[in-house]
Amino acid sequence: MELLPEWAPGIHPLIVHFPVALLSLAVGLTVLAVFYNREWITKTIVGLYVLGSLSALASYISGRSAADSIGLNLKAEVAIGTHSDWALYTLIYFGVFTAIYYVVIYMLKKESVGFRTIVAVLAIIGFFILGQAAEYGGRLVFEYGLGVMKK
Amino acid sequence: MKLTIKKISYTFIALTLVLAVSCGGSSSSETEEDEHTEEMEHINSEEHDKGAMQHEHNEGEGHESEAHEHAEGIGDSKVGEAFTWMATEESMDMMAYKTHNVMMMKNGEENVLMFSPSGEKASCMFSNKQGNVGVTATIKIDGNEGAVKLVHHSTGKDNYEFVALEGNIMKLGRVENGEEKILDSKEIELPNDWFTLTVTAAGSHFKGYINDKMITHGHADEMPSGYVGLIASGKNKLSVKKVEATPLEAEH
Repeated sequence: MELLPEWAPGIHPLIVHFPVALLSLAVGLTVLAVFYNREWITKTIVGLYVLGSLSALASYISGRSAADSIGLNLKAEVAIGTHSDWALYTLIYFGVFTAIYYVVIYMLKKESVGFRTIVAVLAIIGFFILGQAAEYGGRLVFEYGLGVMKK
Repeated sequence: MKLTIKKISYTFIALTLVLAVSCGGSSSSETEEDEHTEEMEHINSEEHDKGAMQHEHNEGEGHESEAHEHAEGIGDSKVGEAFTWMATEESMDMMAYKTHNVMMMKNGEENVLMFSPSGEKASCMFSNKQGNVGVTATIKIDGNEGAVKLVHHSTGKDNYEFVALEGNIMKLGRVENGEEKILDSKEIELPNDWFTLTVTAAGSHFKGYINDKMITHGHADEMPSGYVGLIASGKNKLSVKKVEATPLEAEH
């Protein structure tokens, strides 16, 4: 039985929206937590960062395999490389950020307004990196037509 | 009330920091770009002078090392212009140099550029200088003793990047100050007939293709713009019908 739908060019387009949605939501809640700090919000944020980072890892691995299998496309070559680079930066940034955030919240029990503000700033910077990866990914499909079947 | 003001102040500071970071990033990249353009112009004018002085020597008769060194002095350097070279007598003008064992020959009805290294090295280099580039050569290899290199970003015999076919191995690498570094290598089944060998250099990403299928993918720092060419060594015979160089679109 084929797990992938017939119209899908690979697993990457099915996975790639998870890190975008999960990490964006996590960043939004991190900013909200500066003003409105509740335990359930903190727990949700941690969960979203962990899931977001894991899905970013899956997305990066599937993306590398997708990029290597599309064949020669000289027009999109630079954009593929740039998308791949930003995706790697996103993965590293949120991976490290999530690990540190988890340790500080649950082991060092830091929850001051100052700490939450610094975390929010770092999260916004991460959101910018994620945005770059997402923009180049979008351009690969909508500007260069990668992964779009031409009949 | 005090706490709310404190929170608002923190948020304001945070947003200011984010804005400062993003503005700083974009302005510094603009400055870098300007500097790079100026630098390129400077290099081009220097190379043009150097080329005018050296272009007369050694045309088509030196051995490989002398000939490859000649890349340092190629005069007619147009950076980043696409070109398609077809094997015809007229198109030899597009070549900056070739060694004595590279000759135009008839293969039935069509012309081919034949590399006969016979244990030495046979090479040629094209006039146009390229930055980010995709180079495709339509080639045929007779024999299995030796190597064929599609070279790009060449600024001399000690500094260039390449995709090489050695027996049933494809290697992607670079030579920097005379030292060879392999970025990726894979086992392949070499086609018996004509096929396309492609190499792409897009920023820090380098890829090697056979018949448009990606085989090798490596990463390294970007090298300065340089020339495109072919080198055959060993006892193989290399026939070349076509070489195409396509500058890769810069991202904005």
